[in-house]
Amino acid sequence: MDTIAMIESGMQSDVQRLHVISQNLANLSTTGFKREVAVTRAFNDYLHGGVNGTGLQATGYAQPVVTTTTDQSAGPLKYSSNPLDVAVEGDGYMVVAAPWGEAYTRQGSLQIDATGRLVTSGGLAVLGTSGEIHLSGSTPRIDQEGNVYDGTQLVDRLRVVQAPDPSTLVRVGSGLFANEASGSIVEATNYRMRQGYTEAANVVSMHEMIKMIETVRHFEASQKLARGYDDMLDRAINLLGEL
Amino acid sequence: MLDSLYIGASGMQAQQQNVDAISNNLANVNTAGYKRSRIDFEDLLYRAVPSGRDSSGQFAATGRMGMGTAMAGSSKVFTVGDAKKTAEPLDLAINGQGFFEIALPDGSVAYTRNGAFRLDQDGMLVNQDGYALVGAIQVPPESTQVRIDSVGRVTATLTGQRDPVELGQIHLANFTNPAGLTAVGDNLFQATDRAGEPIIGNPGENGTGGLAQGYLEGSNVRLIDEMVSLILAQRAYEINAKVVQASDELLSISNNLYR
Repeated sequence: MDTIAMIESGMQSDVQRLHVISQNLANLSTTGFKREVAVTRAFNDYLHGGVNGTGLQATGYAQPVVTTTTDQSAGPLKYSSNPLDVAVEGDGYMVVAAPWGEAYTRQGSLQIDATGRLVTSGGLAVLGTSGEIHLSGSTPRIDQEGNVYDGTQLVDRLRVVQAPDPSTLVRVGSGLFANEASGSIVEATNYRMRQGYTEAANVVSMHEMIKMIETVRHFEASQKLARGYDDMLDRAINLLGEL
Repeated sequence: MLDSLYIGASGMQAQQQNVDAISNNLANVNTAGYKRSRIDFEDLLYRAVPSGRDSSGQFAATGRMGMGTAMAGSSKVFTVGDAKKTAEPLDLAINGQGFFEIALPDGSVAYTRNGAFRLDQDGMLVNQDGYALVGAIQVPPESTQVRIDSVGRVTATLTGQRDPVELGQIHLANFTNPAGLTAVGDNLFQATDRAGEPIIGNPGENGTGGLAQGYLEGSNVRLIDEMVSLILAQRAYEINAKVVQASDELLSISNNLYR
């Protein structure tokens, strides 16, 4: 890979890194939001088969190499006193019926729709162990196991699942995750439901701020590098030509 | 051009709506029967971005990047506010769920939790804006004491009479999904498809609470919570402005690549 292409690749990945940081900061107030982490691919990936007998073999592709993974750690629980706010404490996702099948979310600011169905703020039905949950009023009681009571009558238990390999959960927006075909989903065991609480985003603004400074400065340094290389070419063309 | 610029802007926009809702809650902290609004946010669509080429030289779309944040919806929180004693005989608080029905001049019905009623020139029970309570309850001028019991029965003692006479019955409406009601101002709500059909009954039936005469329901705004939210919203706005600034810097630096 030539020098200019390498610098460009570095600057491109800075732009993508800033993209990830800005997404995290924009969602500081989004319930149940999980922050994204920018991952830069190892230098070895640039090379054909790594280091071999003929030395380093660069592929020559000047493409940005930032990918993202989701930080699945729990966000702080916030007391809201609203009986329809439910937070999952521990590992697990609530299951909702999305148009394409099941989706998973930790965004527990729930609502009741006109037919008495328990739905997410986006209007998708929240699933219990026996399907959609129907209530007669807007103040159900939900215990730690996720049992939903309508008055004193047990209606259903909220389904809470987890993915043994969290990387198979793909974000689809609106706080929802979809499961990639290859991944398996199992019933969660290690969790507690908290009624009247919401889970805040797990974004730490100071951390993102520092990453942002780092990114902007790296971008600046790359620019200086490009200018330095430009100077070098300039000298090569003009000074060598005088000889 | 630079997605982070727009994402930062979406964050600022969302926080501004958040501050709007908080300030409206704070302004109505002393409004009887006011229900606080809350705003939910959601992350916007993720799209796959080509994040490099794999060993065979193909673009590998493994990176997924979000496109910012947006308001998912604003809803009213219908938790019951504290009942405050006023000793006014026509002040009513609902001890639980339910809404008073108010007949609007255009013939439609609106719903309210504000139970500060008074009499108009004809002795009709009306709300603070002069709209009649559904049920057309008329209090005769010669009555000395009006009593409203917990199940909504209105009686009055008339001068010169020993036994109170019955004047009417107050009904309450309940909804499957009160959060789906539309607030139309003046402390009134209108029924919508999202809220479901109103279920009308006597106070204490259909999951509604009983009436308490001489009390008014305070707003359910909690000052400390709103102040904390306001501080957070302001700081979140600030940090999103920094994102816009950083994106601007990136653009400026890349513009200065060429001297």
